Amino acid sequence: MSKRIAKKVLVIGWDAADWKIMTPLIQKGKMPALAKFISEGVHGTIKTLDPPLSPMLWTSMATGYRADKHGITGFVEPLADNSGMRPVTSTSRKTRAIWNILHSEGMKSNVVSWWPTNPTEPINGVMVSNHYQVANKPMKEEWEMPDGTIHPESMKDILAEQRVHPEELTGAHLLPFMPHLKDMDVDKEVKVTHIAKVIANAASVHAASTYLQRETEWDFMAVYHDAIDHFCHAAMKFHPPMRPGIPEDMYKNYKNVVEAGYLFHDMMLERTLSLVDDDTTVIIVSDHGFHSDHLRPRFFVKEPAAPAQEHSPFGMICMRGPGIKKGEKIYGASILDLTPTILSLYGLPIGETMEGKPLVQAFKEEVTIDTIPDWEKVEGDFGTHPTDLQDDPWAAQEAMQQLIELGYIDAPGDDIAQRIEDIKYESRFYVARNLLDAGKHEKAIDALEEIYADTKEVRYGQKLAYAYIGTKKFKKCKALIESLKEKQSEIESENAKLTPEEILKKKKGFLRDVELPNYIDFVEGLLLMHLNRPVKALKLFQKVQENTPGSIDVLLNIGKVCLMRQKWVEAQDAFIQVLSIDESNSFAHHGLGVSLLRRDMLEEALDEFFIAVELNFSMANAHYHIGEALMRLEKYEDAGHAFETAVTLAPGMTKARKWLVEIYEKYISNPVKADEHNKFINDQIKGEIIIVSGLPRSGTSMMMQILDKGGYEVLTDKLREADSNNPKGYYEYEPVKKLMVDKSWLPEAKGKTIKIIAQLLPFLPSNYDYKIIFMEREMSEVLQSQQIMLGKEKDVKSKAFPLGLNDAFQKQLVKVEAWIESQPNVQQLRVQYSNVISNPEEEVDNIISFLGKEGDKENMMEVVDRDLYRNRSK
Amino acid sequence: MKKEKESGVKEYEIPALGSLGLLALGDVGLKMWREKREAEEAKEKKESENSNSKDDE
Repeated sequence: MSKRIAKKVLVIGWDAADWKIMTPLIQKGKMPALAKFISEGVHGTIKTLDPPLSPMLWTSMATGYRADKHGITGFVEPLADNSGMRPVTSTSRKTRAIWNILHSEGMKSNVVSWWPTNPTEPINGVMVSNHYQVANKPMKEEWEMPDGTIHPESMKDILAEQRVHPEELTGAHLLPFMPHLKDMDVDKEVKVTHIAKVIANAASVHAASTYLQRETEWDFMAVYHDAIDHFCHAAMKFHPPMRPGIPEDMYKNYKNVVEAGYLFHDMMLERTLSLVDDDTTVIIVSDHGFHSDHLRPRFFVKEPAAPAQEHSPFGMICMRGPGIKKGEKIYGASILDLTPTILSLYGLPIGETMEGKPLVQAFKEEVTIDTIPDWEKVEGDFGTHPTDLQDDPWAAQEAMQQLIELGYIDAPGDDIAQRIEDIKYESRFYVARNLLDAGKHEKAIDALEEIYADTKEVRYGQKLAYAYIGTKKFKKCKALIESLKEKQSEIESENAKLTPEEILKKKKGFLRDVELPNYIDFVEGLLLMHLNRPVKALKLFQKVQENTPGSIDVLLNIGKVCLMRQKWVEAQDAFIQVLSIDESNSFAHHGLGVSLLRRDMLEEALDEFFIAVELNFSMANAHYHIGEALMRLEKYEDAGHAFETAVTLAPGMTKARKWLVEIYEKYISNPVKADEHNKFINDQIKGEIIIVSGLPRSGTSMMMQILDKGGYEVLTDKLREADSNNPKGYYEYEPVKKLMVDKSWLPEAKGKTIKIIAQLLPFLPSNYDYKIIFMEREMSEVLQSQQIMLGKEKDVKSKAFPLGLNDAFQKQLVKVEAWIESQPNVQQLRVQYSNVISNPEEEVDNIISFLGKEGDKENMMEVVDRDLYRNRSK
Repeated sequence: MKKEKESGVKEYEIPALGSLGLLALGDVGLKMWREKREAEEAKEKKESENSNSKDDE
């Protein structure tokens, strides 16, 4: 068993708490309790998951799993009888929460208001559900708690007394939030009532938790406050500085709400901390951040859970207690790390199936982390609901649907049925997004393909396109883009018949519809970028940029394309533009760093890389580039640390391992580590080979010659001499023809360029990296050229090509393309033969950026001989 | 709202209208406020009854 660091653990959840707001408040001395807390422990940012929806996130935090495993997939779920919807319930959770695990270990937990905990579970301790604080009736009527709000029942009465009804509040409570309250027409201002509710709810949760802190014995306590998130949603648009379009009276009335909300939480924190002893480890954590500056959205894309568009990807975490470092920052935390961290604080094993990691960097001492295969498989009493209470609302809904279809029960009204249907798709969409966020593209594709086919909802198509790009399913992505273009035409024809007001009233996705043309161009740009066609991608991104200036995603990709094309200054400009909009954009800092590194501005580049990893520790490439810059500064030990971090984050990053081998062999003698990395490299990848491929007569020899003249080393035996069909030579290598049976010669091709016809590509072994330049040419031209080479000019004149040859070649190309797309070690650049002839400069640019190694551009362009394009159809 | 006693122990003056500070004290602050509020309400009620009975006289 690993060492137990904490005797007791208290987790305070502050939904949406963000350092961007808190840091200035701390600096002004307005959050003294948090300031003291930070000085006594560690703090840092914490990365959220996509989609940033609270029920899913807080369940991930309490279980260590994503939504596809824990089963909480949004805010609502259908009622079992299909008659309507209900807020998500604890019975839908499929995995054990931290309090269940601690129950099985004989520990006592108090859980207050965590999402979603209604009905409460029979744990050892006290559970107060997330329905506890909600006032459902006027104060003069009896305020009953819904069933399942409190466990154990014996605590019901005393905890009911701790609730604060919004109508109890007075001006004394509201004035700090709205100093001009006396001048406001309270009856007409719906926001005032809403803000009063949020204050009352927060006070209820705090009163219940402080009562439990004082009056009960506990080993673990978790208290969740949603108030910061609610204050922000209500009033962040009025938070200073005032933005154009915000009415002055609204600004005056509500500009204090967000700050007052944070200050109120600091006051509550002071009290909470006064009730814990020195043996207690306290963690304050949020699930995501909240845009509070110029990144505040000016409007929402109309979609379910639209307010989540105000959430930002990084929340906050801080931790204090015995065995925790003092005054230090921690990096790379994810909300999935919370449960593994709590388990490790108690010296309990982490489930190997859990998707987070313990934040051991916060611990003073190095601790051994034990694991078990899966906490879900452990038998015993976990204080969970009895099995008859646990249900899958979606399964129940499906069962209900079957009964409706069989005629056993009546279908609900049209609106309810439609709503349930919408929610069903939306819920699957959230899970798919969560899977994409985890890099599980294939699983996400299954779900997205289904829901997009059923609904043709553009948002679903958008994510599907990303998933296709992420899995190199470029052909499918292309087809999807075509389908979106058709959808765009339909929408344009429909909209042409409507007034602007009618367009805005359209039920679903109207803003997306408006944005569709830009969106399609953007996705197509991404696709082209991944197909290594940066020139065309850049044109599309620039077009989108003109239509939607200031789009961070577009600017970032312009920067990336410029990096691909080695246009370092242009890349720098694009990344600086991103940083002028969002100075905390880690990708822009990284991109800017690369543009500096490539121009030998090593110190400046390092500054940018360090900012990038501080903002987003999980960027393996940024760590790699830190290593590269440090190597050039001859700081080998530090470079080693950076490369080690890179391979920890991305174990397959062989380029970092190659540097590590050099460091451990030449500069810091560590033969064991050098061997370890060498072994990995040798086992995985033996080297890189550049391949020119395509059908015979598609321009492969010309491409070989272009590369040869560009200074790229080619592998050829020149056995086949130049002739009238290929006056500048064939650039062939005889052993290639035996690739199907003999691969022993491949080491000779390492680091060189070789020509291999398309049909032989699938016989390449998987232990090399391949960069394939694939030549594409009109099939009729290929066939003509082949016939001429075979001395069948007559057939060419009469266009009498062998029957079925065209189909056979097409089928072979489909197979080869499928092979290329399925190989993780293959990158390809598709080059149109006709484009090389008509626009050699663009193609040569593409080739150089694809190969990532400077070539002699002028020499390469000179190879293109328009006269050779003699077989073109006329 | 609060003043230091000679012993250094903080003593709270409870406003009948409550305050965020009292809510921030959690269950204890809430209880103190409600007691004060009820006492004030009872006092007001009594005063009002007294003044009514004087009027009746």
